[in-house]
Amino acid sequence: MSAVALTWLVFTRLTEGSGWFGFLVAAYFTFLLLYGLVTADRLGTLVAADRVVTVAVTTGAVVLLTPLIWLVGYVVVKGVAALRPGFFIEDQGGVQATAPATAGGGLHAIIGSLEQVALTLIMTVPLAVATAIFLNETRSWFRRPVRIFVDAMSGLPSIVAGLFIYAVFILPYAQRDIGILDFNGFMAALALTMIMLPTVTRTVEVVLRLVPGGLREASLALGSTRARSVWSVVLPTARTGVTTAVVLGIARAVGETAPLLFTAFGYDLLNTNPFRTQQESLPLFVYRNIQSSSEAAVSRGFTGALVLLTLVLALFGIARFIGRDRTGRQARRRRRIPLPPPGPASPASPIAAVATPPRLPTAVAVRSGADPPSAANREPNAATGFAADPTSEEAPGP
Amino acid sequence: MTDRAETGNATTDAAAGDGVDGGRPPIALAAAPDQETLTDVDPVTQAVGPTGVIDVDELPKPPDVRLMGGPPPGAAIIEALDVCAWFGDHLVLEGVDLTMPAGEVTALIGPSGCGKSTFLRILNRMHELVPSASLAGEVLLDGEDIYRPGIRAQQVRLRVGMVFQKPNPFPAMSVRDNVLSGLKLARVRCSDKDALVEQSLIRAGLWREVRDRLGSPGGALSGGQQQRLCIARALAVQPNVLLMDEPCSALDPTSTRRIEDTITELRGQVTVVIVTHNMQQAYRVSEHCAFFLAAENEPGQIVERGATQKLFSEPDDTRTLAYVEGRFG
Repeated sequence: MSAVALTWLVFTRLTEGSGWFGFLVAAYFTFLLLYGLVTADRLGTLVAADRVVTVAVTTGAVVLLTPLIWLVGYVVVKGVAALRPGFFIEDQGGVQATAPATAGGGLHAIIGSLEQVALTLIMTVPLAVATAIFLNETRSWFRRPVRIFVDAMSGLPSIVAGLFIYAVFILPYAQRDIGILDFNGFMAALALTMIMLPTVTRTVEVVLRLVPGGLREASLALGSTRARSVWSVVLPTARTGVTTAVVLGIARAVGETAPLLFTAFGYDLLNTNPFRTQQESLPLFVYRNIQSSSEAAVSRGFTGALVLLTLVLALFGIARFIGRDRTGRQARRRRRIPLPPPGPASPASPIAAVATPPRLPTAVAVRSGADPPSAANREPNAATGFAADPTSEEAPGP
Repeated sequence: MTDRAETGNATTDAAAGDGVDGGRPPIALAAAPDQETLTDVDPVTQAVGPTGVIDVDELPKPPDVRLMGGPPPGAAIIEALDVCAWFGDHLVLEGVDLTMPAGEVTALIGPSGCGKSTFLRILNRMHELVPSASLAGEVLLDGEDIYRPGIRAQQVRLRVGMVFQKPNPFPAMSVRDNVLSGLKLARVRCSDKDALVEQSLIRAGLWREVRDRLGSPGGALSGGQQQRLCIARALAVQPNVLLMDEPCSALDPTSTRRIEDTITELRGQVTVVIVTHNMQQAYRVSEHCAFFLAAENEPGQIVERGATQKLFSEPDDTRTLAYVEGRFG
């Protein structure tokens, strides 16, 4: 380490290095080189290569994580300042431009976000699951165009989705005052559906593809129709995966701003009816506040961003939890089955018996000793092979 | 060879004997589930030794369960007449004639890639699920062509059940639901589901091991138990024919023996057609045997068929002799 520090000094003195960034890069590579050489000298090239690569990979991870942590930390620090319980129970009604950041709240945005996402979900999930089933469980020639279309849609810029809804459903009816065909939460949900549908479809499709073909065959061999086997076997098997896909889709949709600009439009007051008049949502709230020239509003925007971030993180957490749940249960089961309550029959004993032959008689003796009455009924040759009977009889018990 | 025959007989006799006296405490008889995990104790003795420990599931027979919308009762005779099968342009099976008598066990043997499994899948119309697969010839189930227009594949598959090479219980269902899944999937109704679960599990030789945990997931069982669960599932709809595609190839010797016991018990109730690579197994469980063979780049054909005893002791064809003696394949 000291050698590295020395090299740094020499390096800067000799080359008159300009700027701290170049210095940092140069120093890093010098460090790698020196570290490799020193290790190679003392422990051999293999160890040296191993260590150098370890350092390089770790650095890469740190470099990648830094902006993420920075970003989250920045939002948290800026947002916490104006975060008050009032944020969750008040809207921006009657808040003056000169009011402090803690005045009013974001309830209208939270409610709006939740309603829009709920509506999106109601429209997306059945459609996405149906499309995924179509793509994965049927043999129609039409699958190829649909798949291409879904792929193309997942590349759709989100603002285009918003514009589309605006141009088709809102603009032509602008003067007619039809409640539902105006700026409102439902229009926002439509735009969000266009964003969320392809992602969820593709994810669900992948999840369905993971269901072993043997299960489909088994259910068909039992006299099931294709439709019923999808409904009763494939979907339940893929349930956790589908749920995860949907939660990830929600996390994506809840943070979208662009499609909402021309659909929900944003509003300062609480509007609980998503089908009538404009509505706020969290991303819009952030967008509108941060654009503001008022210091307090910017601060409020950061609070909104913090709440949004927390919401998305929570959703990801839920997705991870659901996704992990099943494997966790299986792992527990795996542990439980080979370890029945009465210690001697644990899998450790046969393994140990193989590894250390002298222990075999003991293990067998313990096992047959555990249930003397049935041992008497056994065939002579069963004494060794089936000594595990009594203990394993208890194994299936709870 | 003779030795094995005696082993098989001894097993059957012991089972019958136990059935008669029934006075023994059941605890010693139950080959418990952990044997599968503990097989390394002494697999050899268990596999070939004339073990007296057999799971006979010595329980009072549950009342007959009536199914509504299920297959007609009893075993059915199934005949293949001049069956040819293609995958795309590739002819894999040519001119197969085989009669599988009702209530008896027919084994299909032969080296890999000779069309045994394809033939088996033709018998319950699973063959047609493969894209590009096609077929010629007739398959008669109790004299009725299962490929006749107007017969639904689901109807056929309900009557002709199937057990696959890899145990495939439905992981999202409990043991009980797995057994009943056939009813749900094929829209068969049943007056007494509990009795049906018990009956099917008893017939599959699994009842004793799982009766206390019918609610636990099907995937939580050991491999051998899962396979017997699949057999129970196939039996629950009370099929006339049960097809088994190498049911023991993924299992250890103990589980294999239990499944063979199960097949023996099914004799008379269901027609069993079993594909196996294990010649001894074919010899132990089957009454009839068909030897499939495919020369290089030629479709598979039946070289010889007939009573198992004869096929294994004095086959007409030299290739059969070479195969059953293990000289090739």
